[in-house]
Amino acid sequence: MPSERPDPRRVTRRRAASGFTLLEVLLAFAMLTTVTGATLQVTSATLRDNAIRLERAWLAELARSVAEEHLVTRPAAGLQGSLLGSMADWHWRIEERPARAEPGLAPEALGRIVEVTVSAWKAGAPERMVTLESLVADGAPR
Amino acid sequence: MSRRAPRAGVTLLELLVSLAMTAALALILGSMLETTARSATRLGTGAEPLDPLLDRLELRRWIEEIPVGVAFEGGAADLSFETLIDAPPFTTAVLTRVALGRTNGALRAVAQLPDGSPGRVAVLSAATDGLLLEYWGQPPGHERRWHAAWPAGAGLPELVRIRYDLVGRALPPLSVRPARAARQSTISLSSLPPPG
Repeated sequence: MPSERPDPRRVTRRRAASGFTLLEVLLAFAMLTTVTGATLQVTSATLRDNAIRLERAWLAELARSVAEEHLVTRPAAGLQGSLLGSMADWHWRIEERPARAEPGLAPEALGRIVEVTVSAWKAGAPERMVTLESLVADGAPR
Repeated sequence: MSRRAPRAGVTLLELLVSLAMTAALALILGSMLETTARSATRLGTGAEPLDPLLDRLELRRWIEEIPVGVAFEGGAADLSFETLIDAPPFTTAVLTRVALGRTNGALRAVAQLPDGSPGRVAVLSAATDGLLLEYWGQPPGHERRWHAAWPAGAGLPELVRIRYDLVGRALPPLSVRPARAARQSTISLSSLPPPG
């Protein structure tokens, strides 16, 4: 009496010849899209971060130059209000105010020390502003 | 329930549904590709490059680390000074001469080895049109203000400002205090207590 069970060798051969089902192909494609998409998103986020960091490095360099220039060339009477400057896409602002009491700052020096704040940003992106602060002694040799 | 023959293929409905799903996935992938391309464009052409910034910071350091009492001379389009560079192939045992100027359109600062050969070249801009150097200070017989040139033997200016561009794109001016490190290492008894 012949057996009801199919010959395992014949089943394997038939499956191999019939290829993938549509469901298998779709699943594989969905997985490929997910992995590629995730990779692209990471790449895109890295590139964006790089661009922002590079912009901040240039802005810090701009703020440093503006601060150096202001600390050397500022009028003896100090700066009244704030001073805005720009060059092409680059913008900056210089502000002065009396220094606040801080540990390590002699109380008798408070009235003569001015806090200088320089902010720099690129046109259209004021939220990525870079700010440098420095103290300068009013009327003292620098 | 009848089982379909193994080689019967797929129905038209299945094919249509799978096509729609493939199209949706392709759309998602396409939008992600677009975002990545936009980020890459922004990094490649929209932003200022990194190398000129690094070289500019190096020139800043060279100028700030000028010791007091060395040669310094500058015009509106060139500058030369002596400084101490603490990085190979240079040594702080001897003064290094640095010359800043435009050669073939590029703005370069060349630090020379003792035998006169270039030991390190800092390229601030591959191509610059509007180079302008100014000096703030009080050379003998002049007022304390901006000067277009700084004569040799007049000591050091308080500030050097270098304006230049990068292939037509405006860059922030480079303002730097010569001998800043030496100035800050000295505190006189009459000066205010240093903050912090």
